Amino acid sequence: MKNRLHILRAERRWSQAKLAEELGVSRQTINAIETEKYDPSLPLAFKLARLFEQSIEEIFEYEEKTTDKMTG
Amino acid sequence: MKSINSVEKAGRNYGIQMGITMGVVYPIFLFSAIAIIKRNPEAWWVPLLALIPMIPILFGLGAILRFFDRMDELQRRIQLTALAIAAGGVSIVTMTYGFLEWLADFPQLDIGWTFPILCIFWVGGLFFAQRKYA
Repeated sequence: MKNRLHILRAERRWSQAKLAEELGVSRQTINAIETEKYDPSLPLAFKLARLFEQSIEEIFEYEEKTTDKMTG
Repeated sequence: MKSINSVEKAGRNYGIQMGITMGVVYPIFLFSAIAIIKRNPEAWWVPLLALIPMIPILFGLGAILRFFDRMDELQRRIQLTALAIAAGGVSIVTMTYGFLEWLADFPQLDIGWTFPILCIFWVGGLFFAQRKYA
């Protein structure tokens, strides 16, 4: 899932470690979300949205997969 | 020095606890039990002493459960993927050798091998699952 996490983090001049600490997760998790290798759970997405004072849709962009279209 | 948060600290503590428990305490308990039992093979307490190595294994299990409770969602996913790989690997190895024992007269293996095989597949599974998110 595309996201603006690295931009929001850079705006605040936070390191991945700082953001990880704020959210109570590991740096690996922040890195995996930023590199779009891992989609966070809904509670973690809400935590991120509240921390950056934005809506979830402003941070994450959901891309529908071909299989979703076929089954949906 | 890099600062680490509570999730990473839990991972480090788990590594230390498992290292000491399985790398130091378990071999001491195991080889002590073997040495004592060899000198007193007929004693009534041999079955009790044979179970002594289970004490550090139970501590290790406790450390695993505490670590699972403290890890974050990505770490939990990685561990569960590794466990699924480990369960699949152990099933394939034990079933394969089971058929060889049963139908092809291969020598019987000790059931105690199951846990080390599980650990090998778990480590391999962790390596595989970590790569996906690195």
